[in-house]
Amino acid sequence: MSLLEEIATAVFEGDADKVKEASERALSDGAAPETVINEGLITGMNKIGYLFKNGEVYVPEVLIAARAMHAGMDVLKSSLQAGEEIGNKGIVLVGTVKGDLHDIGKNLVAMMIEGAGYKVVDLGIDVAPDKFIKAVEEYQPLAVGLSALLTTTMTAMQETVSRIKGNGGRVRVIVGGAPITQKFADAIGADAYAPDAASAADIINQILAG
Amino acid sequence: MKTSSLTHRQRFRIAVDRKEPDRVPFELGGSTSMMNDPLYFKVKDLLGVNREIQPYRAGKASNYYDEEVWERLGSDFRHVWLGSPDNFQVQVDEQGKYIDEWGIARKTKGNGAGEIFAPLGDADLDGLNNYRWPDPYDKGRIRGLKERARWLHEHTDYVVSAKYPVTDPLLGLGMELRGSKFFIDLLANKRFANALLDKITQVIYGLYESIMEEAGSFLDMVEIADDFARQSAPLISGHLYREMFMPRYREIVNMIKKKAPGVKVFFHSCGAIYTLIPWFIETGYDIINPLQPNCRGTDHQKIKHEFGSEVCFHGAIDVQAAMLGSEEDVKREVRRRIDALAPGGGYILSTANQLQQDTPPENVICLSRYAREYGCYRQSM
Repeated sequence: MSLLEEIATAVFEGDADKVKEASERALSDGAAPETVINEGLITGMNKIGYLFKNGEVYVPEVLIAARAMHAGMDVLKSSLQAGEEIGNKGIVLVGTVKGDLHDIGKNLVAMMIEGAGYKVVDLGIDVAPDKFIKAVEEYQPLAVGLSALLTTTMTAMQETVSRIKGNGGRVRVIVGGAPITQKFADAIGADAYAPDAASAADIINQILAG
Repeated sequence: MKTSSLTHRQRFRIAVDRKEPDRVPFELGGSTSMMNDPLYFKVKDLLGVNREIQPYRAGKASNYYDEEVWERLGSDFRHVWLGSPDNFQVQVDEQGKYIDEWGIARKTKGNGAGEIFAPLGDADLDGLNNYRWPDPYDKGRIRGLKERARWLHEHTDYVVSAKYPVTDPLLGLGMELRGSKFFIDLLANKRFANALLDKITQVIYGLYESIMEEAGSFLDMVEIADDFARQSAPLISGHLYREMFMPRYREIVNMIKKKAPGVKVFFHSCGAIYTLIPWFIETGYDIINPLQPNCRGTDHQKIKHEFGSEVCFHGAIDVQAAMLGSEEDVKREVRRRIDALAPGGGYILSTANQLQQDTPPENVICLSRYAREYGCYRQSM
């Protein structure tokens, strides 16, 4: 097993100590931090994400892998050159729309997107359209992910999407949450619909490539 | 069709024993079948109920328990619940956060619940021991409980059900007290996870013991609820449920049944619970709620076929879409669920969760009438 494979496997298994140790070893062997991130840490997260999407592993397994990934990130952070940032594929904003206070789904989405190599800015729960607009201006994200669990907050989602889209710019909007459907996503002018947390990262990769 | 000849309680008993009563029992007013406040007012107006009542609690989405409304809507159930403790009052800190008796701080954001600040996020085992845990035997909780339960039992023939004292007591409270780190503890820090769950279980056990000691002999059903699944999958594996949660819930279920052998235990978990059903049955629950529609793997016919001989089902009426549609959508929903779950008994019709405030009030009335009409079993004896 190559060192990068070893790191990926340790992330997959949620072994934070091993990820840290192997990442340090990779750096001292002369590996570029970006390579360790992309071919080690993210590969491991992708693997757990795939099983999570298929219902073969559950929330604890994903969280423990994310923790191991962060242990590796901490080692690599100090070696990145000035100006470089972790999550070098770009920024994705996530938040639960106004009125909706549930956040476990949104937290899982944030984790999976981060695991796919993006920097995630989590605006939290009960986020008003104004706050989304302000954050889009401030962070210039590639994409915004909106979550809603209750049917009563679907109108708030519609308003948020139209405000973000109406503000110009090329930011893509992805929506998800229990009551949301592809049809609703199309009707309110969102760029994409993610049926569950695990597919959100794939969908963001797809629409940003397309 | 048979005309209604059974009492509410008989109807319930026969259905839970997985035989066919005169019609499918119908519950509204349970913890998971309340109406959000704005909907309650609309339904009340539509029914022409003029009497004003006080909310029975505050700060939740559904705070009104109106006997007259349940009566008009034909619910076979009436409910009792624990009150607030004498020795604790909700505190508000300088940042406007509300701190409940578990020490969990919430910043409310208009909708009842809100952002949560986990108090045991950095705690170790000593921290757990020194923590101020709620007193389950506080006298305030049981004030009036025995009298109400006895009155309902002796003067009505409704099914008398005890609402759950705490929502999501083990997995949910574990998460609120510890934060999402609790999920990591469950796999990687079992010593802490076990210690935390033991502490919580001690309180929860005490709360159920208080209910049973006071009212056990007057009860027909006791509710427990803990969400173990999200829309597309369980939150944790069946293996982890069996290892960390089943023994603790079993202890509570066994105590309930020991104190009142006739009482049926109702267990609620939202989400895609299909793969967990065998473990729920093994835990000792008699009634499983709500088999939430539109979740992955929630095929009611298949579930009835596989587990219908071992357990009674409850709920299943979709509140996320069907109840928001037309009256025809509501009727179609009732027919689908009854056709799949009611044959042979073992089904209590109810909403899969609280009725949301954007539900048309006419649909609630349509549900109540049609559930009792279409729910009649054909006379075959």
